[in-house]
Amino acid sequence: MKQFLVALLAAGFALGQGRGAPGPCDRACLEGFINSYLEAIVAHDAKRLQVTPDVRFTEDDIELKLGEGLWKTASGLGTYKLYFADPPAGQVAFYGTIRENTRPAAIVLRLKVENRRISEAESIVIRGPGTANNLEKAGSPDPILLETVPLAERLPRTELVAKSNLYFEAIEQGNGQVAPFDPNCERFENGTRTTPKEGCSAQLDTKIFDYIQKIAPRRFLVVDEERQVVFGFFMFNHPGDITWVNSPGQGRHDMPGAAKRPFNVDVAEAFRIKNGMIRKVEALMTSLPYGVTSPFVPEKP
Amino acid sequence: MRLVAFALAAGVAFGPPQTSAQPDTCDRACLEGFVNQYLDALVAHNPFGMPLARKVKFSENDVVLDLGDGVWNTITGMGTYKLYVSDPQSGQVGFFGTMRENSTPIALAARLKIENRKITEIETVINRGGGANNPAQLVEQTGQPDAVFIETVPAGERVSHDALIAAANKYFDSIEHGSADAGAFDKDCNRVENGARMTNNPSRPAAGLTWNPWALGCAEQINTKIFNSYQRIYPRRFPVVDEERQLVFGFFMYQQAGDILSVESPGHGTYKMPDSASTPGFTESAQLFRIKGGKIRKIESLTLGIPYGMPNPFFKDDWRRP
Repeated sequence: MKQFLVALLAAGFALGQGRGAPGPCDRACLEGFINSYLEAIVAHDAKRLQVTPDVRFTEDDIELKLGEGLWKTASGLGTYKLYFADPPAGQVAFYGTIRENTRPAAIVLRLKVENRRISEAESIVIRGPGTANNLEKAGSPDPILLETVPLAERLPRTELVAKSNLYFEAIEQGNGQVAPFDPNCERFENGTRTTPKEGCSAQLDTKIFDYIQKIAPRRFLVVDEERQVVFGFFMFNHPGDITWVNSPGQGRHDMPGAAKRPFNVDVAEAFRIKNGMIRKVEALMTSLPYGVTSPFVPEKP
Repeated sequence: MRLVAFALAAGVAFGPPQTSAQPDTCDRACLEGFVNQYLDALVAHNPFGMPLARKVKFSENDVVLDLGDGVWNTITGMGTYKLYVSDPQSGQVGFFGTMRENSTPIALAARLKIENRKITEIETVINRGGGANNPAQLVEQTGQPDAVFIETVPAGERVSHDALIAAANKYFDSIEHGSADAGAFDKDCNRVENGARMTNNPSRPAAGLTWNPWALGCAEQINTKIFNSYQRIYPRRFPVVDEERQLVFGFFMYQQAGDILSVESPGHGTYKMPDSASTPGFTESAQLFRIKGGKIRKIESLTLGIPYGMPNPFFKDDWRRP
């Protein structure tokens, strides 16, 4: 009996679950939920999804009902697919491409799965062909985001999150030394490489990102321990009142026109941590009105 | 008893007796003065010199912000265009204007609510451009506001407060139905959107079409059904009614689900909607109507695309119209 209980626990079955209760949702299971979701959205049929009674759905940080937004316009699947899976948290995220009324668009999707039912579906849709075409042209995701890291080389999840978080501290402080950047660190935004050959750290030292005054909320939602990848949504707040900066060694740097007005950007960002350092940052993002926050964050009292 | 009837007619509510210290109604000059103070305060980056109620609700592009945040950090100067719409009865004033934000021209629509000579609400829509045309520059090129928006209409030619709203509301019904109520539009009706003249303007290009919808008048243009991608215009809020000038100013949410891609346009065959109609989106429109003899004579609007489903913070109910 004791052996049987131990075996059950090892298999992840919680005590108290009845007969036929679903087991834990592993990587394949979580990725399956993403695939089912995408198929349902293309079929414009939310009813085929297994959801909790109080399921929440957002698109571009606006809470909608399942069946609204992209659910009315998706017309096909794209070719780019990148998954991040966190079985212990029951969360999974996805970067990919789709077709919206036949036009290419990119999508970020995060699902929270509880007892094999979707309880949260959070999405960003990046419309316009640029991002989707960039991703599809790249073909497949960077292998560094897909490799299973040997157990001995893995950091625990709290450390993965802590190291990723330092990236945002470094941006806010305009100081690349604040974050543990791998010398080969590179960042891609909406499918385009946006770091110079000098690397991630040196770019932040230029202070050209100082118009990004606050990155909050920072929501680290999916920690893929096997692959040492952290995924989350991060709200970049740009008040628009830092119009130039004194860039060390470069002199006066005028911010671009787009940075000289108030706006927010919701950034879905994935960090590959390697040897304790940030090796790759892969981000998909969309602009939003200034002050918009995530519906998944409780409102200020 | 006659006194009660008079009091009701005058809009005096029963309740605590009003004292003689109660400030007078804020008339047109007073309301426009509040707008001017507000504009000066924006340039000074200091809202706190204005007469403010204890609690002020401020929104910018449908996001509630702390007073002093958003545009309050970035304005660097006044523009040249100013159009005021005053409603002393409701204590509200609407405004279209241009300003400078870090030296770039921006177009601003604002609504202030004044209670007891203090500001209680500031609602703004700001179009900062970014596309091929900057609305603020187009607005400034039009020069000064159209005279039809600033003339005092003789009392005998005015329609009532409610009739003004009803007349403006027909515009939105017409768009939703893709069919204009012919009686709703004055023969000289024109519409200006983000500084661009959208009606009776054959010089406005109509790419890819063998006919030009922009050459048509207000009603004829709606009848072509080219606006059918806006399935709902809701909420429709008419907070400012300027009876003397026969104006209605409000905020209107154009809802586009993104699933109407083409339409049969009477007399023109199949009309393919522009690419922008193929994605879900809301457009917040601050819109001003001049009503003449109960009909729509002129429409001026400032619009801004926002995420689909974004609620207006001054509208309490669900944007999904029952």
